[in-house]
Amino acid sequence: MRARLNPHFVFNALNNLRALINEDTDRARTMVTQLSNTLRHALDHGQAPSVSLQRELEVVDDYLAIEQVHYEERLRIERRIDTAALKAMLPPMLLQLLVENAIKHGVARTPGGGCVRMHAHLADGMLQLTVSNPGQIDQHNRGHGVGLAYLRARLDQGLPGARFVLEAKGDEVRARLEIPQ
Amino acid sequence: MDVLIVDDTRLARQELKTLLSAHADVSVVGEADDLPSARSAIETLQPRLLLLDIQLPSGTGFDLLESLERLPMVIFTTAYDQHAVRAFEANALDYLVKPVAPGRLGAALDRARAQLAAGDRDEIDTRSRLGADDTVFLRDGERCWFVALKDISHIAVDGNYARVHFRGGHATLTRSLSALESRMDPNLFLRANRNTLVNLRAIASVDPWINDGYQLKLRDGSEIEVSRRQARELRERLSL
Repeated sequence: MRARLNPHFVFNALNNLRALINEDTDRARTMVTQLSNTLRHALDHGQAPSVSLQRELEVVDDYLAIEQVHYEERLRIERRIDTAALKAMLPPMLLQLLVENAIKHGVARTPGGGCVRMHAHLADGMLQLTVSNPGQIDQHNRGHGVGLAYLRARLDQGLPGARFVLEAKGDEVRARLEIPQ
Repeated sequence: MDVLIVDDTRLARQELKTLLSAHADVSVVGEADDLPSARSAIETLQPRLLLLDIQLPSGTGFDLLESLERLPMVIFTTAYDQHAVRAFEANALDYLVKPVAPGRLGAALDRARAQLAAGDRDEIDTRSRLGADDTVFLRDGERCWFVALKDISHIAVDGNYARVHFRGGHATLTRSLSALESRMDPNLFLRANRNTLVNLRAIASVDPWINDGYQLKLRDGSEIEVSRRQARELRERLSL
């Protein structure tokens, strides 16, 4: 699944890192660690069929820290994660993928940026994950992007009862994922 | 050489400023983070050169160029963009990938310096008319070109759009013919008929035609009818 590594993300991160080396050495060093974690995870994952939400969130946090260096005040993040949901299992990279899409199709295309909201809780034996971003559903690319195709394939392959919905709510796009536990 | 940096990321702009600081003849006169701020900065600062990122919040760098009446020289910068690389084949001043290699930036600046030295870009004055060496940005689907007015053979109205024929190809311009005509040096182009502007230098032959008009044959092989109304104008311009 090396194809899941987004070259735009990687080269922007390296470019920002080069500027940060002059501006804030400590932050630059931290960013190298975060970028390494993100790259390692993207290159290694796929070996395990599923990971805990807690582990997945660690990866997403590193990823978001790198994107916050890029977008600065334009990228705001809201997290509402029920403690009970942290042990829930899900296929690796799915949450990461939703967050990546929220930034790429939402925050990056909104002048002034916006907020990515991540919500997770358990209900009726299902892990309910929601990621929302400002913007509209891309009409040219409605659910046919490489990322979402990958996500749907992943769900079809080994997760009977899992559901994925992409919906527009006012000025927000909301991706909802339900995974049976 | 006055440079405007257009990139939505502050650190990316900072990085370009660091790289440009090695070039004593280059001064960064401004920065912009999106299309509207870039447009107004270009208008007020009139930079000679744009360092232009492709993906911006409210559109692309191509959208920006398409909306400009007078183009500075342009060097594109992007982290990774296969579409843009394909779009560019042979026409931008240069195309740099981020992180930008200092040597590649130096080579791109050299090309800009060469253009300035050649006198192609003597006057940058937004009130003056577009001359033979001025460049327009044209786009057709995913392909785009920078084309000097002298390389345009003719421009034909096609509904609300103008179809520009140049170097054996064509592209659509989303501006009306009259708006474009009013901004061009009147010595360059002739309005041959209601729908067509012809580059006088592109004319290969002139033959009498029905209704006291003329038939022009252009160097690229296209044939254009000159209406009776415009025939007299043509005679004067070509001293026939």
